[in-house]
Amino acid sequence: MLMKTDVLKRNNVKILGNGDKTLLFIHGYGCDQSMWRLITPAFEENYKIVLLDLVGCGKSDEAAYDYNKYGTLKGYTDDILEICDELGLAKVTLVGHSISGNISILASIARKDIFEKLVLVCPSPKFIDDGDYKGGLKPSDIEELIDSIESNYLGWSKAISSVIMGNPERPELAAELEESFCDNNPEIATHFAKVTFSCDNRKELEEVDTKTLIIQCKEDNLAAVEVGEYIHSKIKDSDLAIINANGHCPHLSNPDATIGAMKKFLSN
Amino acid sequence: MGSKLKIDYKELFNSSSFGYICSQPDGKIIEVNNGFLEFTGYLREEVLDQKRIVDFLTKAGNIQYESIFAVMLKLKGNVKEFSFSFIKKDQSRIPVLINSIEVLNVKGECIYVQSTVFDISKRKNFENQLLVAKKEAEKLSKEIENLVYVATHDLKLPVSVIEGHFDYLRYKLPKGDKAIDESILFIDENIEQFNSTVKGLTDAIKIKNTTVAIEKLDLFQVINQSISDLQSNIKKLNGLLEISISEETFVRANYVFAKSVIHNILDNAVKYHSKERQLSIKISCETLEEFVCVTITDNGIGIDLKLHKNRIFGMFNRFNNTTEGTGMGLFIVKKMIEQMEGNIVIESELDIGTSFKIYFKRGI
Repeated sequence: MLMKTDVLKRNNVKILGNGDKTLLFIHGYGCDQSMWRLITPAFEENYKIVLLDLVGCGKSDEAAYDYNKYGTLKGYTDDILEICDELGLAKVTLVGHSISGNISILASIARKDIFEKLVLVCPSPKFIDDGDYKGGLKPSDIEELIDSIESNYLGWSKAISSVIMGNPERPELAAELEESFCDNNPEIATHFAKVTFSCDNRKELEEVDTKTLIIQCKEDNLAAVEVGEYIHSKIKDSDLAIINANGHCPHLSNPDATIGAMKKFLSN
Repeated sequence: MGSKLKIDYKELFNSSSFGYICSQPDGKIIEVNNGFLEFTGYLREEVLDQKRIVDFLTKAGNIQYESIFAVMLKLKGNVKEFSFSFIKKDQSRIPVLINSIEVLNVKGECIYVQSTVFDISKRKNFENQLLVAKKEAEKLSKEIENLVYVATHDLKLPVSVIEGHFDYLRYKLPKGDKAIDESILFIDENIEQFNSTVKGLTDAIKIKNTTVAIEKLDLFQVINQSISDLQSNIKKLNGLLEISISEETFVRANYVFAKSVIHNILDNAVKYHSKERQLSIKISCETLEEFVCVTITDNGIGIDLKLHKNRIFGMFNRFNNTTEGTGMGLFIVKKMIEQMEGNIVIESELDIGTSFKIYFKRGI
């Protein structure tokens, strides 16, 4: 009776654009695929664009969230590889934001045949300080983060869909739900935050053979310029582009510069 | 009356107990009100052109701001009531809520961001108490579950021993004595009642704690299979069953649960039929955007919803004394529906009938 799990539905995969080369975008902690909205139109003409929601985020299949599987980044990496195989993709450029830069790195090491290039947007191999390595955060910051996630989801409830079901005459409720991106299940968000901010992928950087672009914001509290430079020094074939932007999301705060850096890198 | 008064808006802006902040798209603060300065303890020149909102937040707050708040602000144009811990000049912290909205020019570009900061110290206490209470309730509910599990488990054995010995006694007792026969029947019925209650309890716990396989099912087939066991009972009562559902109406559900839910509701319709009229059950089906809604309507004795409204899907609730039942049926139905991320709604009128709407996730 059981049907094969539909990996495309599980990750709410969306495909846009034309081209034989593929750009596969992976969002980071906190939101979903909608964060690429200002970037993708610039590539639709020449690339096939694949968007997805990591399991537990956005409109992915929440029932597929297995705390064991997603207790390490390998769970997410396996999903990316499965999606590529399901779609029969080759010559893929992975574009990963923040923690998904690490997922992109792990995927490229696991399957060199699929991935041609990597674009890491504000990546960090380890967010927590460790000796000489300055990730920028302390373990106590993460503990505080875990506590604070809950307070922003006090009213979060699965029941919201039953509210809509009980009020078919009030479609605005559905519209509100539609707009509620970045509104992820707090239990999962907490778990994902723990996995994200306790990761350490420094070792794997040196194993990357794929041509890589690191997009770094001029000022970023979560991944400082030193972190970008560190990655640049460890990945053999890498370029570092420092974008004139504050914060951790240049693809939202300065999309033009982000697109420019990506185009320059992709045309090489 | 209000129109005659001259309101000094600048005064209103400055003296408000909320903090008002205007910042450039890159985050740099370009204007604040006195309320903000008072509550943070900073001087105006220490803030303007010097600080961004994130500079007042903890590291954990920074993560939340950059990963969620800033993203939502860009994508939606506004963020409402996001909770942060704000650091004052003296390094003490206060819990706040922040609202932000992008102010756009005619071309739709953001010129600046307007934010309001509310001190929620008092409310936060209350919120923390609620969180503690919520966790306590969750823990308690888990404990009750364990208790029920242990209790049902421990009750099963002595009753099965009683049952065995009674079976032995049954043959030793003199035959043909009316009083004894009645007594035997009474004991049999009660043992059966006991066993089905224990089974109901065990099932309820099982349902809550199992993650069930959700698959794409054809509701048409599920309904037909649920009906087959009940056909003879409906026939016995000379009842009418009307089904309007098209083949290949797909839902995402668990087969065993879906069948059991429909079977339970139909079984109730048969059990609680009215003796005053011919039993009629109608099943219809409507495909909505996200759900498929099955409506099962009967013309039975009905339930007084005014009296029982909040207890319909509760444990051990019975709404009439006419027939057998453990009071577990609808409770289990509700649990199964919840596991499938659907919903069930009841409408009923005494002596007119009952109608259940069962929402299944639509299968695409």
